Amino acid sequence: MHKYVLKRLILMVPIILGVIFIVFTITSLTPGDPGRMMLGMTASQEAVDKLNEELGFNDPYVVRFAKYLGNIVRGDFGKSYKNNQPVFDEIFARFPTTLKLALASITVTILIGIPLGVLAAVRQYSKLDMISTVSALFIAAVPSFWLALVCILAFSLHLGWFPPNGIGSIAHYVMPTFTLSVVYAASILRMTRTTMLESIRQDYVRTARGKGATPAQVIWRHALKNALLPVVTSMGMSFGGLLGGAVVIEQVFGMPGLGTLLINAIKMKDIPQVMAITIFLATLFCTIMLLVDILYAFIDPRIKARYTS
Amino acid sequence: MKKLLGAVGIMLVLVMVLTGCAGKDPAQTAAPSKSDTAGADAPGQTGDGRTDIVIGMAGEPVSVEPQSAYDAAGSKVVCNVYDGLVDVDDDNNIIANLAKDWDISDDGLVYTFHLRDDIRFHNGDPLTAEDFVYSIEKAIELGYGEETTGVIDHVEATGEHTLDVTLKHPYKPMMQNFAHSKYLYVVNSKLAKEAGDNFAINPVGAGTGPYKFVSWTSGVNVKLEANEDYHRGAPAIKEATFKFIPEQSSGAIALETGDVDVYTDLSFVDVPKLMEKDDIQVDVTLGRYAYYLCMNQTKEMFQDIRVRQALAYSINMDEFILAVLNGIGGTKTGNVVFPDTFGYAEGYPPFEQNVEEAKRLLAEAGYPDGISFTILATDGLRKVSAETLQGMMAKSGIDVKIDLLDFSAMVDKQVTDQHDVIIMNSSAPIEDADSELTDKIMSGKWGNFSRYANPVVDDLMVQARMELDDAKRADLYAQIQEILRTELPIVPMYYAHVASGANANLKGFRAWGSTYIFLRGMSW
Amino acid sequence: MSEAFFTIQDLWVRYVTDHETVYAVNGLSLSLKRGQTLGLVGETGAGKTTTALSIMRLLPPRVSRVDQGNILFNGVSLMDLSEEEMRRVRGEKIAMIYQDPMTSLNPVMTVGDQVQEVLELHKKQSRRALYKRVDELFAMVGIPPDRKKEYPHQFSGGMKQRIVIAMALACEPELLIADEPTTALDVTIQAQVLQMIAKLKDELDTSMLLITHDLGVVAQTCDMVAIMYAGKIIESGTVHDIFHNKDHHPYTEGLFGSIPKLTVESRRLSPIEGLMPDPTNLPDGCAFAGRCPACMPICMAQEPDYCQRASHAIKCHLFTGENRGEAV
Repeated sequence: MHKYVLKRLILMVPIILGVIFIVFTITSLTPGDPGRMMLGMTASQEAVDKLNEELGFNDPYVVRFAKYLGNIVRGDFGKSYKNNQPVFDEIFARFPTTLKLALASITVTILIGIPLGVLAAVRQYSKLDMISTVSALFIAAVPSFWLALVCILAFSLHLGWFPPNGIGSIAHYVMPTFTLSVVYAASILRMTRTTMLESIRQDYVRTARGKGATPAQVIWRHALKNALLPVVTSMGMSFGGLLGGAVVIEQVFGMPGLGTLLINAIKMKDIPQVMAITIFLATLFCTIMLLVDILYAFIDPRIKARYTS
Repeated sequence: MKKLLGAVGIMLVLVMVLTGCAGKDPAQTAAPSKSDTAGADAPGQTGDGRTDIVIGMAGEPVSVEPQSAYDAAGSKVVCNVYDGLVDVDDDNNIIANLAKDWDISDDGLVYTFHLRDDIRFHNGDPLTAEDFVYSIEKAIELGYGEETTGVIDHVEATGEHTLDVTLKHPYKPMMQNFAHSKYLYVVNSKLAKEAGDNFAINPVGAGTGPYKFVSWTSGVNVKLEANEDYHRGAPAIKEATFKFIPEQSSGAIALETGDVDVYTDLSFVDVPKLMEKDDIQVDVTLGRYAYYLCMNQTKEMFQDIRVRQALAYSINMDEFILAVLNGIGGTKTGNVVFPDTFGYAEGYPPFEQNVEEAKRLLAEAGYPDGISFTILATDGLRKVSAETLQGMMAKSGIDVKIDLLDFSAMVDKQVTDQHDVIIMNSSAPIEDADSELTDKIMSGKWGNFSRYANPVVDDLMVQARMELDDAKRADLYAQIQEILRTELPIVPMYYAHVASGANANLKGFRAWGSTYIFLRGMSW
Repeated sequence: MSEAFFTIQDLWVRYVTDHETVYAVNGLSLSLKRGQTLGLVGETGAGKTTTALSIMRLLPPRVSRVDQGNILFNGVSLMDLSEEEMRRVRGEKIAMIYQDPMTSLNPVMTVGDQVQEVLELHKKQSRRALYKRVDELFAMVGIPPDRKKEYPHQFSGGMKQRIVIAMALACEPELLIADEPTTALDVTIQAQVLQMIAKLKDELDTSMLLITHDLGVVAQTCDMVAIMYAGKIIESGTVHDIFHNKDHHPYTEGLFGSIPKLTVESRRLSPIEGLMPDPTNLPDGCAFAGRCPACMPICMAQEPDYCQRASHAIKCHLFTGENRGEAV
């Protein structure tokens, strides 16, 4: 197991290098230059050229890439074109918000999605199953932007329960968490239902019932654990996605998270910032997927056996 | 199947209930509850003795140093923290500020300012001419305010409180620049040098303005507190928080719920609804943006004046404003110079749609079957505008294609002359025809995406800029506007409006057409 | 001799889906005396597993319908028990060994936990006693108790089936249902496992319903035999009746091909020409008529009754009514 984890950690290096290469290339290939984005439409070309020169944007691609790699090896990820601040300062300023939102959302997602998915599967074709499945379909089809606005209108404006905007108190996180969770829970619910339906038809579930296990034991102890693997993967991906920032939700609820930071950085062609966020997220995502794989081993001994061999 | 239909039905009802209460109820229930707490209807009660304010705005500043705060959000903060040499009164007349008086050399090149000797920065350091030298040189070096700083040749301190600013050429509206341009505001040079790059995000104590910078929490807010020693009197509101609410609809809701006292960037979709509310005041005013069509005249088709005129006649601006700006987001115009600025010439009314005339002009120009071109657009306003024009122009036999791009990609195409037509808006930093026209119509200017090049116009523009006599300047601009009307290098569309909303109890609130919001005049 | 403590009376089970109705068990009756082993023999699809699952009340919900019949266990109708009462019967009074040990064990639980679970469900005892009992059970089925911390994938098929057996016998049930317990195993260990079941059954004084299609197995382990065809018992009797009596149902004849020698270790059913009737559309008359070499007109029209001779019963027109005696 330790060996496996170490191997995976080492494997992350080429993955992240690949990400660096791809993102750096894309930012270089896309039209536009940071000088123009920063100085605006009215600035003269000379001023823009001068700024680009200062930023080193006028160097050839290969030179810039080599310089960049050299710098990050030394731990220097550069300064934001936008305000000349070290890029990770901004990332660390924003990450707590994103992390809190992601953790809250994934927790609520799990608490809603899995039990409902299990119940829907166990009571297949029942009213509960119908309602939850149709709601899940409906929510999956609803743009989260719309859902967020409806939440604000209903719970902020109409009922006055939660602040519509910003961060600062737990109350600020309620609606964004709800909106995100509902959307993710819808997909987790559908996935749990499917895998559970498969799992409760397995022989070992019949064996469990044949032992005289109670229905609850049969479902939660025998069927669910087996149904959980694909769900765990999906949750890992969701969590990674949430950490990348739920841009739309952050926008609507005015939350300063990584998502908006990234989008703004892309718009401004703030290359050092874009790169730093991407590297940060890629590392984070790889780590989460590794944790998911480790979690697999705890859920399924067969996989653990594969890791150790 | 029946069960499924039933479930769908339940969901639909749920949704209708939700959206229903969202759409209708707030107007009925939220308003009274709001006014209870705010005391809007209670006679004799002015606010509730508050001395704080929360201002919501659509962006987060890129910087709170005036020389690099090139965005709208940054402007809103810096205009309260920093001060300039001079200011303007309500009628846009120049009045003293940090400079108690000034002389302008006869050739109009050297501006000598005599600074007040009793001004202190927020950290207590006295203001000297050297601070201005540093600030203006920094602005020139950074280049963000090139349209206002570009004319400055050099600046020097000739005494502890005497400042000489030398221009490259005479420029009559320069005093307006000194009054309006944030890039020419003064910062504490000692602090700025010490802080280095950090200064742009944490310039504590570096201003002389009515508010002191307190903190900037990335992504959350900027906090200011009143400067009790402000040389023009301490402001009534003591604590100000600028909150970043990027989504306009969220901003409107934050205003309704009382989450913010002011929201500076209302969408015109939300304005009519907010106007109906007793506890909210909404101000819509002319922004400093004129929208116009740029027709790339390096393309043969647009070199023909008649084609350009045909485009002007194919637009129904009333319908456009209704469709794109909810009827209230703009005022149609036939002239890109603003009515209240120096050099504005009357007598150029907006074009009215005339399909027959547009067709006739096209036929005359050799396009009896109509023409076809592409409008570059980005998602959002430009896209909606382009689509609306597409529909209108089709009636005149003009086939408009829309090329939807990301902003930087669009700029890239413009710069490399790959565009046919674009919808431009360029702001004018000061209220002067020079500022409003230069970038749009002078040959070789970066913002001239019509690629219009008329030596006569160029010459008149240079003359008008150098001219120091107001009457003569006005006459030169009148001549230019006459040529622009005849040759129509760009098709003026509308002056954009800006809409801000505030708690009804806030006194001294209004919308500023510039990107500023001055808190000093506000009180509860 | 003790009376039958377990009886199935006229059991009818259907599977109903949107597309079709499968008639799986059609009026099955059988009985079992304490301590005896009944071999239920038949081809795949004859309804043997459905019968077993009916006893356990583990038929797939929604699609299955028990239309008629009764299952009496110690004089109590299992059909009348509540789900909770039935749950307490399962695993404790009636236990089952399943056909495929590969899929019958939960892959994500240790085998020890799975065995222990049965005991926890039915027998209140101290932790220590519980662990001791689990160890005993492992030792009983010939698996070193220190392997109880391992997971099913770490065991071979035969070992897994031993674990399933340990699970089934953990509470010393009165009735053990073994549903083709060796079919999924390697030929080499089939006999081993079977012998172990038989031995343990005797030791624990458990009665057994052994479902199989292996006549050799029946000859070795059973006291009674019931031959099943298309959801019905078409012949039943003692092992002696089936293996030594002269008269047989033509289907039984077919099964044997020629009467096998008891010394033959193991023998697969010899193929009979033709297929079982479509269970969604059973014919009138005798279900075997279509494949029967001795088919008579009456066989197509009328279902035969049982011809009972002492312990031996045959459901065939050859042995009933006026045809009696004309038999070969």
